[in-house]
Amino acid sequence: MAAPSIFRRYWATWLGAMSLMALAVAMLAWLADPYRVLGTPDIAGLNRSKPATVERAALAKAYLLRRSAPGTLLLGTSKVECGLDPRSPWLRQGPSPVFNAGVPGTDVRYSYGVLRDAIRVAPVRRVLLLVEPTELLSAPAADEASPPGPFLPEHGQRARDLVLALLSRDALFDSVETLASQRGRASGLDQTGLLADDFFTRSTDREGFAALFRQKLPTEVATLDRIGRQTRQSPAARIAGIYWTRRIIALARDHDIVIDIAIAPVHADLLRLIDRARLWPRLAQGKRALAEAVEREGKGRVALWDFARFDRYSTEPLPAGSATPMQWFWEPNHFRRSLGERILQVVYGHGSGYGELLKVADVDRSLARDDGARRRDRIVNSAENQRLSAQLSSAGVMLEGQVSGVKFIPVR
Amino acid sequence: MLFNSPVFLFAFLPLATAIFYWFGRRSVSRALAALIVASLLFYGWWRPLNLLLIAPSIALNYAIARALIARAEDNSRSSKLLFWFGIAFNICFLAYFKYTDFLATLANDVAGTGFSLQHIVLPLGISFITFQKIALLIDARAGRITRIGLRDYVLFVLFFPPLISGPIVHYRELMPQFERLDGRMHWQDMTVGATLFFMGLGKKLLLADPIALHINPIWDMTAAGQAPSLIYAWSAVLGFVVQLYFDFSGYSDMAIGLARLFGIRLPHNFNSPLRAMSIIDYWARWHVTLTRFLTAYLFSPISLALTRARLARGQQVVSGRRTKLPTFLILVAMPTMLTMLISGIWHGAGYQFVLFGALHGMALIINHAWRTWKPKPPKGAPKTSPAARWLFLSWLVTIGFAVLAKVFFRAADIHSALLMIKALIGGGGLALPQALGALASSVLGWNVVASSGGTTDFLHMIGLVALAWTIALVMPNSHEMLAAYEPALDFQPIAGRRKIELCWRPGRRWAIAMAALALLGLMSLGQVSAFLYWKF
Repeated sequence: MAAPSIFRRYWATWLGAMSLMALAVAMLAWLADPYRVLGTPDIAGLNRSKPATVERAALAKAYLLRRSAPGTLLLGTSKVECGLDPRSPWLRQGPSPVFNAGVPGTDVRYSYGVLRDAIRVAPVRRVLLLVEPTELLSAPAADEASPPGPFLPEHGQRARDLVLALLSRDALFDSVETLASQRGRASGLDQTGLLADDFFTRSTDREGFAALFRQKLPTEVATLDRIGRQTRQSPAARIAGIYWTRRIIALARDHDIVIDIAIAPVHADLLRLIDRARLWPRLAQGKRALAEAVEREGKGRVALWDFARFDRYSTEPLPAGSATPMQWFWEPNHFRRSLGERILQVVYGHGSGYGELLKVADVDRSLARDDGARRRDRIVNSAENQRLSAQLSSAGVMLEGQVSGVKFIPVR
Repeated sequence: MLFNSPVFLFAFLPLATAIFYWFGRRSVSRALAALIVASLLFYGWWRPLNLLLIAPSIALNYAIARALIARAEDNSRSSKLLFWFGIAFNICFLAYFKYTDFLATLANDVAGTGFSLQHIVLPLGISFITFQKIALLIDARAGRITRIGLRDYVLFVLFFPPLISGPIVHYRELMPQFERLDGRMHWQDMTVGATLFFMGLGKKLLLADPIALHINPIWDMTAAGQAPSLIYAWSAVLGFVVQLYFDFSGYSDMAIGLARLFGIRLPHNFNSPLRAMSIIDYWARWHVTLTRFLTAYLFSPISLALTRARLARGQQVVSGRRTKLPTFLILVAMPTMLTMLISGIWHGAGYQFVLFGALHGMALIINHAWRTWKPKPPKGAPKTSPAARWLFLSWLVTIGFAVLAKVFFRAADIHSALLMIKALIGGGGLALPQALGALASSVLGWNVVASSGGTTDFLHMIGLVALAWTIALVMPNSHEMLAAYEPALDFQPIAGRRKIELCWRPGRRWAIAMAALALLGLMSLGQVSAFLYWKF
């Protein structure tokens, strides 16, 4: 048996080495601040680009929001996160700073939670909420009225986040990745919550926009398939996004916050898919219900814009070559910042020529115009429709038959 | 409480150890009482109701064990009845919690009954605790235990390191060690225990869990009725085998290390099973204490009783190469199959586990038959070691079989297991991430479909699985590294030259290396995941 002194020396070395290594890891994590939790100042060439925030957008935004104390909030999903630039000239007039609080994979209910928590820590005076068109198709969940969980971390959670941001394996690896990825284009979220274009350009530069559209197609088909089955089972079901939109309007009213609402734009490919999945009337029903809810809850003081339409932006054709970029869209579900600027111009700059202001009084006419544009698209953009048909075929989606409950209409 | 949870590592364990040694300096008896209280807290932490469920069973088993010890020489009918009542009680106790739904499903499937499933919540570690209690009753009946006190019995059943998932330990192994404790902290025990614990934590958090993150979606996809493509299927199956190995052997290392912190040596549970050269060898290295239990308390008694019966009737018994097939079938094949079927059902209540046990039973029977009747080398031929290619072939057949059988262990049901096996032979086609698929198509001319996963994730998964297999096959295991300090009871390193010699010593380099491993392990605690064997 070895002498106890040998083991005591072993433990002293063990503890010393452990402490030093832990300190080194924590310093590295502080320097890199891969999730923007620690608030380390951005230094160009050292830690400004934050690729790890892409996967942890909600975490990063909770801390960014608390630190930036915004006067204007941009609420919504990934469409907002990558498409609406808080530094836009159209946002300069009005409460500042502007913060992009769009969180991928969320819904209006989640946006309510963001606004509810943001009001507690920031002087929010203006909000722009983008509603997903698919939320106007879906039926509400069974637990529709249950309030969303906290967006901003409480004390216990903040302590836990701090430890994990400084001394966790993920933080260590992501810190190394952060420090190593400072050359080239910025990636991840910036201080305003905006997602860098690099998230998409990594794919589009390599494979082109058409490939990205093709890759996203099965996901969109699956989403519409699910919604289609849902609506077939209960055609009279209410619209998912309405309840929490009303709650957001009420919350804004109670806190003297000016709010504008917009139905987010999507590429015409997605609108064509909605049409072929026989969900177009459901979308119209959703838009009408939203218009009524906004007017009732907003007492005529909240504007509702509809950008999910067939227009010159959404019908942008896919480029033939992989090197040619698209001007307005990254892929069917995500618009580029250029289109985001147009949205902000319309909403805050009183611009025209894009979208429609939906009001209950003339919602029927507006929806009729929308439907006319859909019909025209079948004729005018027959080449694009044929391309989509070919893509659906190659993705294994039958045009004539049932696709797990949804009958897609063929285009001839 | 999970060994890899912050509450265990940063609160329970330091407190339990400190209180144990604080009391130990005054009285070993009080230290052991404190250990019982700590074990109760450990067991009841997740669901205090567990304690209420297990307490009557402990009390009854203790009473029966005492009565059996008092009648050690008594072979009367009442003594036998008492013994069999104890065994039946434990089996029924386990069966109620673990197999009610399975039996209902079986009855519904076979007899068309309409029993509804109860979804009874399993008390933590019930399978392991029941086996230990049964072993104690058998040992008491056989006279291998001569005295037992209530405190000792409770300590034996509830001692927290092996409580939930083993190693399955005998009363006669554990209690003499408790009796020998002097209540003082020994640096060597603390150091060896902590080293083994952090090695186990590293296996779980740095190898098993990251692999699970990649392969679980593939298994989920199979459970949903979709066959994965060829490379994904092999990654899922090979990944699961090595995940299970590092998960369970990691857990065992942690349990053995924890016990050592209190000056107790537990039996080892794993000895590099993925290096086994035969299926018999495999079971001698994988979950060693379960194999030992099943051999000692199931296979051997059945085989022995049959042998005695045949001897009494003047019939042939097993006698090397002269053994006749019927004799082999009755004395070796039947007990083996029965033992492995019970082993399969013990692992889980589902048809796939029955099939898993049956497959291993068949493999063991074939292995025993080969050992009995394999061709003898010609007389006078020099005794040489088998050629490397034969060794490799033995390993390949053994591990190939073990890997395929594990499909039934992991799959949600038999249908998805068969779907996965179909995928392993290409039934799900060949798909690769876009970039790799394009490369394979252009360079090799393969017809590859683009999979939905990304290239980085795919390469990460393949790399992790390959790294884990390499460690399992090439590196010495944790007990081999610590062999000089007897980390576990009855551990014997496997004979033969190893590729890499790594012997732990209490020196500076090892202290720094183990500190790095411990830090990485502790830094991986963010997402606590349960050990795979906890559900058993």
